[in-house]
Amino acid sequence: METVIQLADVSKAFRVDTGRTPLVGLLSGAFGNSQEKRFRYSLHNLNLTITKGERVGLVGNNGAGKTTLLKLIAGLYAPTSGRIMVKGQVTFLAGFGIGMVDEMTVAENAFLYAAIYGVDRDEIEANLEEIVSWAGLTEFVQTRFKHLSDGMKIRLAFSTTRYFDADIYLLDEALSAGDQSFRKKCEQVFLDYKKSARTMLIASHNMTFVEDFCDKTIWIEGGKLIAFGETKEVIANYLAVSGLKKKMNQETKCVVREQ
Amino acid sequence: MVIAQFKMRDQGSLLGVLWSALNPLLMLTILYVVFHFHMGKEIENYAVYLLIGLVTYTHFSNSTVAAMHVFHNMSSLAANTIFPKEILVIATVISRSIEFAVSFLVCIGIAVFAGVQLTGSVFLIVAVILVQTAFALAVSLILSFLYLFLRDIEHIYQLLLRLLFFLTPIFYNMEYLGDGIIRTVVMMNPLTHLTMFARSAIFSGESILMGLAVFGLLALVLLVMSFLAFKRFEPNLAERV
Repeated sequence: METVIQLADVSKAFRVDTGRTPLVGLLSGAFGNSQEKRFRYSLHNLNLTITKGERVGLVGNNGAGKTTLLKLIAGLYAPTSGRIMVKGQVTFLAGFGIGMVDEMTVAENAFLYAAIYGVDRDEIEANLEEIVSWAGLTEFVQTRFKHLSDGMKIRLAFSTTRYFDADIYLLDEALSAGDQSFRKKCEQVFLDYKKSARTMLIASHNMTFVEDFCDKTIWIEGGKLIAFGETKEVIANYLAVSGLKKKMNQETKCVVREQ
Repeated sequence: MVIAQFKMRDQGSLLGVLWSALNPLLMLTILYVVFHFHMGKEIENYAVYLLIGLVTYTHFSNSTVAAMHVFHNMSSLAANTIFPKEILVIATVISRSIEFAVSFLVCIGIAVFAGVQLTGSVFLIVAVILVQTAFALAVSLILSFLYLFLRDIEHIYQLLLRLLFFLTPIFYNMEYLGDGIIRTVVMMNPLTHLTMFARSAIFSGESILMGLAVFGLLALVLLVMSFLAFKRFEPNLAERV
């Protein structure tokens, strides 16, 4: 099989704000008394190979580096060290912070979004009604984006994405803001995708979804790769470790309720 | 994208797109009232003269300031979608250039009304607009990423723009400056040349072909350089906005 995403020894460090203004930071740096750490590694020496048509889940606790990994693959971040190879056109869809513009209307945003990802204006024009109604926003076509609820925003973005023809889809918690009926619709779309040769990398906290949809799963924690393999095994291990805490929490809650 | 920029700009303001016309007009009125007894006597068609200077300066300052803020204003788009980011800067400048072209049409209309004899040189205004757009774009590309590193740029640049306003022959002419050091400084200001090109085109002054070609070439070189600098910086853009 053809390799479409390959990461070799990739690390990504972010600058840590020291709480000083840049000028003070610059001066103290110049006088050589800056022993403190200025960088924090979000990903550490990651090696990864994904082949064409694979649907890969990405799990890990908050702050594990899931979004960083996706943004690196998307080319939005540059790696601090290591090499990233990506073959084909990439679409990145984040559940939080969708790349749409607050001051524009729903319809204008659909056009803009599609234009950015190279979809013909004509195609969107012809399908605008379908895009909007699929997202359940028929009444809001002329409403400005900032007045929509978070759920509506992600619905619009996802609905538009369906018309993209990318080779690689990177989804970051894309479904978490939607309600049940929206999730059902999305799953249908994903099932259709399943038949095509699209490569997908999906970061999610919804284990049922990952289990249903992904062949393989990556588990990262603290910026390091813990496991990459068959979804069932990885999820089982992940739940065994992180689920332990959850169970304990639930039990405590029960006790409180009984009292 | 250009349309998006155009529409976004005046959302939520009462008079919308009218402001882009009103602002220079108000400025024109003020300058005219203050200076027409003094400087106005020596310069023919002082109102048109002023207007051309103001339009040129307004386009340059508005487009570069807007481009400087574009990644900040559209941060969600810049941080979360994959596309060549210079498009945002280009769209910002072009949307202002469309306005610039319309302003010149109005200028020419007023000039005719004021009795200015137009000649074929008026068509050179198209070249002037293109050259100024290239120059503004070059400056905008640099400003747009400098701003993400250092917010102080905003204040420094505003100060510089104010200085440029007085160092450009907008409400005075070159004769007024005499032969001193100030004249040399004013002549080193690119906006001086752009303003003079536009005036020559409308007032059918001395030939500007040579000057325009040289300036255009320099602007192009600057544009290529700032574009390459921008491309070098681009991989770090998403985490900076």
